[in-house]
Amino acid sequence: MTVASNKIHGSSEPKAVFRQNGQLSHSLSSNGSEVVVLVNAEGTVTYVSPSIITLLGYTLEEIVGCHIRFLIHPDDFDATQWGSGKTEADSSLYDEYREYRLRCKDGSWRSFEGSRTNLLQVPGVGAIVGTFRTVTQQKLTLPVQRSQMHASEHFVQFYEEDESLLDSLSSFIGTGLAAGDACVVVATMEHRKRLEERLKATGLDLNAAQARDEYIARDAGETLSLFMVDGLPAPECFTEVIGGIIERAAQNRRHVRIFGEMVALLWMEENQSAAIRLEELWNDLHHNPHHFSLFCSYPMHCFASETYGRQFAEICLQHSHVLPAESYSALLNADERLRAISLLQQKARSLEAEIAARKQAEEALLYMAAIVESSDDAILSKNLDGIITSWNAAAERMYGYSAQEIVGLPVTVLFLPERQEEFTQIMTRILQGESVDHYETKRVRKDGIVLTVSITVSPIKDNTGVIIGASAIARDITEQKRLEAIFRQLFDSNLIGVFVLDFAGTFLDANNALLDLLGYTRTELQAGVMQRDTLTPPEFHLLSQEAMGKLQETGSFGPYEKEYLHKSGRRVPVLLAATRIEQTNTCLGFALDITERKELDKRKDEFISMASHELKTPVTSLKGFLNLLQRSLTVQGDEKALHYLTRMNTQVNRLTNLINDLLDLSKMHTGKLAYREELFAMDALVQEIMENVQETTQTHRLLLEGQTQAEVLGDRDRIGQVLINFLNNAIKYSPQADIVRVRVAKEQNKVLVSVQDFGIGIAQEHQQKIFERFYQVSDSEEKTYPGLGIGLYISFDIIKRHGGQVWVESQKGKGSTFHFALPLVEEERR
Amino acid sequence: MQVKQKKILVVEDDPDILEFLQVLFAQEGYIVATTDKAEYIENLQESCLPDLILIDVSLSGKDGRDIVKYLKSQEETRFMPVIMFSAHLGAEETARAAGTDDFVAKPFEMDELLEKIAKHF
Repeated sequence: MTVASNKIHGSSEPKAVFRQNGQLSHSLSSNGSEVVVLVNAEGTVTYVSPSIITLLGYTLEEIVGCHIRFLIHPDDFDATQWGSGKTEADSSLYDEYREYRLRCKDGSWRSFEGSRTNLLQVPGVGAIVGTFRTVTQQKLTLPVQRSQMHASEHFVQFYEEDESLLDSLSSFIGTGLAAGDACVVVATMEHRKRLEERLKATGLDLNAAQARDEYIARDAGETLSLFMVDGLPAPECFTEVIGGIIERAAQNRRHVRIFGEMVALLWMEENQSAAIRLEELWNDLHHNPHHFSLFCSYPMHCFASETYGRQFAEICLQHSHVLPAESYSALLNADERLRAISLLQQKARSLEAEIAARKQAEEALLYMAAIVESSDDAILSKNLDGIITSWNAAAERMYGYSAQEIVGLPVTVLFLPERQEEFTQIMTRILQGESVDHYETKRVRKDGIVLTVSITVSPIKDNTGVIIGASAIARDITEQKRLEAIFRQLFDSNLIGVFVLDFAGTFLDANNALLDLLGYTRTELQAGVMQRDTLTPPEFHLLSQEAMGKLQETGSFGPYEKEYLHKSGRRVPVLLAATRIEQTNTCLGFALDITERKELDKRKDEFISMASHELKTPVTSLKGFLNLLQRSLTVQGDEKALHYLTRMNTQVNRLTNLINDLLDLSKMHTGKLAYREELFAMDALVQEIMENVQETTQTHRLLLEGQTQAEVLGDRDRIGQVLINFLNNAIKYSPQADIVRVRVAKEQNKVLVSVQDFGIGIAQEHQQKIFERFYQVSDSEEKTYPGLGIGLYISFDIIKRHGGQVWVESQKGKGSTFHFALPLVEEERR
Repeated sequence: MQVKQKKILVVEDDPDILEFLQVLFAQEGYIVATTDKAEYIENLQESCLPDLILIDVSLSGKDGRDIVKYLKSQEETRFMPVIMFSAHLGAEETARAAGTDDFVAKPFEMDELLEKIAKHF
């Protein structure tokens, strides 16, 4: 120390000193743009590097031995930093590079980036080292704010522990008082008390200082309230209050040092904008004629949240120097500091990355949570003990418990009493890492109603893969089951044969009724033995195919009648219908055994046959005796009697016709009516029939128009029968008219015959139905017309069997025209 | 010279029909024999063969067609004309298949019946 405090002449001694100290050796190998200065505790320059010659224009002798004050611009100079008698170990105050203007030989100022390191305590150095680097052009265009601030200093310290703040503060104030600066402390009572304790401990006479206005202490909170208006500092009041204090302190042109933590108070009150505003006001105060150094402080925890990042940066900007929290200050040298900064940079980066990743994960989680919440299926999670840990909205609806009620309860509250072991069974699987899929079971709601559900339970693993619980998704299938049960009931009731058939013709499923109907066993069914095509007699194959076609087109077929072959070989008449099962190649159908009905039909038809036969016998007698009578009376010449007999004969003929029609009907129905196939001349037939019918009527004239000149292949008698039927109807239903017109024509490959009457006509709604068996138009008018209602049906059938068409044109009140068309045979077939 | 009268045998089980047929045929100058029993046919003596048999398809107890088949199979009666009649129209085919020479539907049109008889003599 003593070496350093002497004035040193020449440059050899300091060099020797430096050689010993590796830390500073690089300063020696200073490039031409760097000036290194050594200053003793009093501030006297003990050494300067030769680069000063070129940079500032001095000789070494001119600088060494002078006070450093001479070299540095007064606005950039802080006596406390450059030694002033008292050399405190102010290791907490490190100066990073800041702007220094140095005086050149010619009196001008040159800007440098300088740093000052206090190595007074360091053995072998014992000096304050100043390093000044030439500033690049950029530096000269520093934000105005900063250069303005350099007129006086304004620095901020962020501290983690109060102790560290107090260390800096006591150094700041202590050094100031020792140097003869005035000190203003606007702090909390606690901080003030502790500061004053420390200062007194160093032997400082605070009371005297206070009496001289060299030490002014104020309460931060009180002072703040003096100029705060509506939550923001009012500039005029601030200037008045603080300016006033500074006035007092700055008497005798003393340098003023101020410590203020009002900004910290504002920040801690969550009034961040006011804090920043206050910082700005402090800076504005630098326009005040009195220069002062301002030391602000903030506890680090104020900025714990990421949201304060911007404001933190702003605060830093407001200050000319920033002192990071003590963990940084503990670092000793530039290398360590650089290392620390790099580490911090890396840490900051990795933290940012981690936060970003977490944010993403959080978003994903939120998304998942939203999905769970909005799902229609009940989703719940439970821990390994079965305690419910989460419960979504659908679960609330399905089970009736709110999330609040049920989270924390064991999941077994949902189970039926007799099914409690299900829990253990499921958890065993879960613990093995397995899922339980589509498991159908019953659960009970809060209100006691039992549900049928389908659940899927999966293990929940933490991020190391350990199973920590299970998730369950449940779907209410009660309704579905109910419908299935209803179907099943019908199926199993065996009231009717029900089957499932695929389009290829295999019976996939059938109830017992169907199996009994066809004489097969369930085993045979399951073996696929039952095939539609083998079960259907050949003559119904076409019908079957048509039905399947209709099914695929329209979705259903039937009901229609066909026969199945019983396993024993006998035929079973059935009524069949089926409907397609959606989105499959299968259909669901029923088969009703109509054997009995068919039997009945058969008996009915047999009865009709027999009845007709029975009826004809007495009719034959009637005719016979009538004839004899006619013969006898002809001989006698009894005209009147003969006339009556003729009338009787007509009626008997009519009776015969009716009976024949009835007979035809029954035969037609059983498919036993045979039609002959012969070629005959249409025109001749028409004429013959018309002659015959004309003989039976005196009221109507039958007129024939046209010719066909065609030959028709078919049953001549039957075709004739149709014409007779039409003519008789025409006469019957036009009592007021006197003609019936018959037209024949040949068209392309058809023969057309039409019979027109001018009678009562047929209403639109009946026109299709009159060709049906037993159909009779039931208007009050028509009811007076006799008939069995089968004539048209028979005619329709006859023509249809010949491959022709029958239709009617009619207008009620105007008359009807009945048409039939028969196909003509091609030349080759003749 | 008296033309030998033709003899018609009518096989029918309804008495009313038999009655008027008898009268009718008699008026026409035929000799009529009637029976309602099928066995009668089988016991026909050669000496008393009719000139024509009129037989119903449906006889009580026996099928007229079988009788016709029998008649047509026997040497003695093979050439004897047979006319069958029936209330069933459809019976015509089977009757002709059995060998009948003609067929008439019941109820008869007298003219038609007499015509057919005259034709087959």
